[in-house]
Amino acid sequence: MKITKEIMQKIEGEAELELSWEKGKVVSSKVKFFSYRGMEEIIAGRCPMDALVLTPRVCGICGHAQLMATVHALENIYENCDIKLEISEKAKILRDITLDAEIIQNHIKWLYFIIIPILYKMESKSFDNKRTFKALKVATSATKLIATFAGQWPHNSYMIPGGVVCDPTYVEIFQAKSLIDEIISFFEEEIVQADIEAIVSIKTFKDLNSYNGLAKEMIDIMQKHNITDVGKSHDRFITFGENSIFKSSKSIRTVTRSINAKYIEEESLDFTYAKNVLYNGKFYEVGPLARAMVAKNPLAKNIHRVYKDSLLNRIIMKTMEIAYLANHIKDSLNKIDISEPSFIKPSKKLENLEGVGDGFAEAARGSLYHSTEIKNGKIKKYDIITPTQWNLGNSKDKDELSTIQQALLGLDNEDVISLVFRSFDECSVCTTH
Amino acid sequence: MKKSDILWVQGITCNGNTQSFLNYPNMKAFLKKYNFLYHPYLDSDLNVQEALEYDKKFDFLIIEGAISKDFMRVGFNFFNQVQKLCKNAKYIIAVGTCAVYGGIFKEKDPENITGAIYDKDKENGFLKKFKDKIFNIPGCPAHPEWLVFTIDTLNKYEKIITDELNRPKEIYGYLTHHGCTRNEYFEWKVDSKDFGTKEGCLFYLQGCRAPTTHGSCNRILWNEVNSKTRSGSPCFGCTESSFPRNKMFETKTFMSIPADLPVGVSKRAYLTVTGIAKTFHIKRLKDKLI
Repeated sequence: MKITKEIMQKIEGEAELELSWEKGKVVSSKVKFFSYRGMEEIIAGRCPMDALVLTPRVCGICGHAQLMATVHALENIYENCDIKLEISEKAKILRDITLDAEIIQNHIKWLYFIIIPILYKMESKSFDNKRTFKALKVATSATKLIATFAGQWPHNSYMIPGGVVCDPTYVEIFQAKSLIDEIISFFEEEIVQADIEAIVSIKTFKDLNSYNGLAKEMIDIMQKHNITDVGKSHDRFITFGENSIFKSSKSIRTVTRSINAKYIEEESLDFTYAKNVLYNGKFYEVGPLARAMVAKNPLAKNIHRVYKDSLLNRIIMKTMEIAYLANHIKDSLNKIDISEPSFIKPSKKLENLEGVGDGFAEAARGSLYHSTEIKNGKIKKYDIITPTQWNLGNSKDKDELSTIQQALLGLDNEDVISLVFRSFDECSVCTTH
Repeated sequence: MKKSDILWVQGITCNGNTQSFLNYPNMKAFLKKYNFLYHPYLDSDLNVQEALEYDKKFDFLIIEGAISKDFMRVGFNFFNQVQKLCKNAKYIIAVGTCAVYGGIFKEKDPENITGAIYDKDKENGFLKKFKDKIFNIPGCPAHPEWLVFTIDTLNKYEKIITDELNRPKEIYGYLTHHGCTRNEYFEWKVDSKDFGTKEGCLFYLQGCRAPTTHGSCNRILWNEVNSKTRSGSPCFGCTESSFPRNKMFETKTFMSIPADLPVGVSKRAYLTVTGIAKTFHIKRLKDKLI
């Protein structure tokens, strides 16, 4: 048996992928993360509100999702103390808009900086970097949209228990509308060449394939290299974050069931800083494909009929999520009533409460879970479980492989391995929080 | 014209400065002048192992993240490698508060994690021997324009005017307060009653550190459109060595006077002006804007 080790780079840091080979095929794998920064320990002992400033700094690319999970965890402490918090519809909409915009910027960067270069390398072609620059520019339209309400991106703390700190006028709302229109136009011109209404109602793979654009280019390359079928895992999906677009549920193949956070288990390992995460003893996939499958997205289900939870489905649903979210932001901006309050002050201060709270948010890469406890006016403990932990586990049981281990099984080509690995869009800094 | 080489390395970091840099609006123009030997996200000549072992002379070393003597990056001792890179670099830029003072990640192990020149406010960072060629761009994260301005200036003029903390004066000679849309409320001492309002100043109750924080957040806007304080969030003083402070959403007061006053303003001056300003009840400033 041959063993190879490769440093997977530019995944918001690095990880080592160790592969065992037999007869030219991958028979097992291990993922190792190198460092650990101790964010949970840094937060412990501090004033509860300070978590809103600290947790975004877990990660430069999904800090806003960290903020969302923190604010949910802190608000959950109020609920668990039987204090009803009122959050205005306006504040809820704004929180969702800026979170969705963060996911959009991430997916655009992932597509153009990670996935496309590998696909083009397989074709021995180079991708026109004018298109990459155009994509980067549009990613900054998404971050600008966040800043329009949240002050800046990366690293703001504009969501607080009780609402948001900003108080936008229609000037900001219209600026945001222009920015989202830019993003939608980009998607319509570059990725799927159709109107956004048509794009978001695509229900079949055949239908998607009838439009030109980057999505079709990617499908063509995957078909040509016969890799549409690779990268399948357990066909088990889970999504915890719930808001105006995401639904919390799990799905095995296409059967969905409700979930309960008490079945989430973490498992330490001796050779990596990343902990395994399981739900009721099983590994699940999180992320855009999981979100689409639990929400019974017709396109995801249609692709699933032939290709299951393959590389193809994972890449397509992550790409399409850009359009779904952009369209959702556009609708949401029309629903904001600026006369509503942005912030409704909670009747008690957090440091005067004692109790525990759980918070979920959908980050670009999947479900994020924060859980915390306040005691004697301070944060007693803070736990973070990140999406990459769900997808990139190292199983202790050879009969129950982790999501990535299962997906890599049987692969025989370096580029394809890299593509399958990166289709999960792992994040090293999050994982080694 | 030959492009100047940049090698960007990461110590203990969240990648916030890397991502912040990707917001730079004129990236195409930037990459006509500079070549990334290594960048943590953008396409570059070397892989991370080659970058850490690079042994030729080059123009700019950018350090993101805090430094500890036992931090490992892809199997290399980061501190050993970065010292070699420092020797070969013409200029070194510490970008972000972690690289400058230790920042948030210093809190994990305060004894053993520092910034480049500084350990919080003490000149005791693990790379202080390279002080003469290190330029500090603190901020959590640093604004991409601040970084590009510093690189461009050094590239063109081979020098930049800095203050006593090796920060470019043209960025850090200002306070975050300068240019805040709430300035008039600060002047007339009209406080925000709570979060979520356009009106009022956040200095007195909501913990805003803008009058005590060096930076250009309200002069060179974030993402070209906004700033924390304009949007309604207090400034957390993230460009200063004291970041992260405790109780960042509250203003620490002493006998109902803010414990930290605007830079260079004496308590007597502050009290006098505040006392007078507060005697006037200016209706326009007490009313809602819209």
